[in-house]
Amino acid sequence: MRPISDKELDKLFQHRLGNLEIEPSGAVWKKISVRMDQKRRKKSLFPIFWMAAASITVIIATGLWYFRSPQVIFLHGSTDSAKPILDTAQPEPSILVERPVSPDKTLITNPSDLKLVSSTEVSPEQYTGVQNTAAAEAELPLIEPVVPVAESANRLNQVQVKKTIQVLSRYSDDQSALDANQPDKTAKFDFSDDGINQYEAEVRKQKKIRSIGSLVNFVMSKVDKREDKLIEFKESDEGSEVSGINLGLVKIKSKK
Amino acid sequence: MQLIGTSGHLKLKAWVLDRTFMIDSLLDKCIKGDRKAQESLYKALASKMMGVCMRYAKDTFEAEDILQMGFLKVFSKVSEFRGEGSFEGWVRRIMVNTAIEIYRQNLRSLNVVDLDEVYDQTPSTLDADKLELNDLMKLVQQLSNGYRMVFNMYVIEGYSHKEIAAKLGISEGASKSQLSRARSILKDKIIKMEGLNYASNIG
Repeated sequence: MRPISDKELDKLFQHRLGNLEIEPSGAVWKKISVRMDQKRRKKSLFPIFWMAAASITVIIATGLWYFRSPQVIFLHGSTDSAKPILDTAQPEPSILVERPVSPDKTLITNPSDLKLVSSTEVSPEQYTGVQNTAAAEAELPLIEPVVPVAESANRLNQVQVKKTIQVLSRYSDDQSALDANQPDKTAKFDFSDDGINQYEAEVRKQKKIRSIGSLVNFVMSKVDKREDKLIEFKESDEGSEVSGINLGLVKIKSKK
Repeated sequence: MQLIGTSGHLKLKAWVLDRTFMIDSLLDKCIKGDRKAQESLYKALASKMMGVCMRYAKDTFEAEDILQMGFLKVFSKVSEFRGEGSFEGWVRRIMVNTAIEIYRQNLRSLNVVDLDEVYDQTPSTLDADKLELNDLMKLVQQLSNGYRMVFNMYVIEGYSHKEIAAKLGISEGASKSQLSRARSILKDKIIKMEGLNYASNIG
């Protein structure tokens, strides 16, 4: 038994096993073809899935965008949007009482105090606009001319007139009971100029937290310490819009 | 007798040529995802590639797993074949790389292989020297996974120790020592099995 050299050993295996052919079982091809079918199905499903996801995102985004603007107008204290709410929405007493008093918050201490304030002091003195209601108190028909009544469209306008009368009657008849149970929405558009400015300032503060753009700005300020952030939003009356992008090499910034 | 011999040789040559042409024409269809063309390509190369996979596997099941994975790669990458060298060589490299990949995955999942486990029957071979081939194949398969990888890559595929080290994620020294260990194990077993028979055959 002579020892086998490395060369001999390598040659033996190269020669014998190097070009060996062995028939694999038929199951292998079946598995391969099944796997390729799965892959093909996945491939064809993938774009459809992403297209669906993308379109849903676009729909939601545009939806949110368009529903934002009426909200902004409402927050500025428009009379048109406030009126209809009077008839439908009736929030709980606790919120109702707070609203008329909110300009001077010191008054909110306990419910009985508030009742007293709202029934006696608030309506005639604090808001100049309440003079309207006071006038209405004296003579209801006076309010009717306020609504632009075209004679041909009388029927339509009657509905609006009714609404205003209803509102005013709440204040004229029994104020103490109403103030506790009804929202004093009319007070909102009866604010004096000072009151409106104050209110708008408040709204602006709230807007800072509310809009998505400002939320992104807030997060960016925490994450990105550069002067020009990765992405910046600018607040405008239509909502927020991208005002700057900083990708390191590429910087885009809109003029303020 | 001589005449028959040459005609037989010519026949063989024609068959080989046919086969390469067939493979070339199949490639275009395979790129387009033609299932029948893919099956023909598989059938043309499967037994050769199974021979490669068997060397890298510890048994037939593992070899067939490598074969399956390898062909899936071949079909997904067939458009990347640039015609440099033979297509068969390209497929063979994919098989070897697949075997290496599976080996490294098993290493990571700490798959401990019992060297004394019972082996299933090796499938029928096309070669006449059935017994000897089966024995040699078994010897390779019975090497521990690491030795088997290095031995196959160095001795049969012709990789350098540097390439083996890079592909397996080991040092060149480890590759060398594993090769020499694998060789000495194989020598021992061959001598034990056949003694002088093998030794005289080699010479």
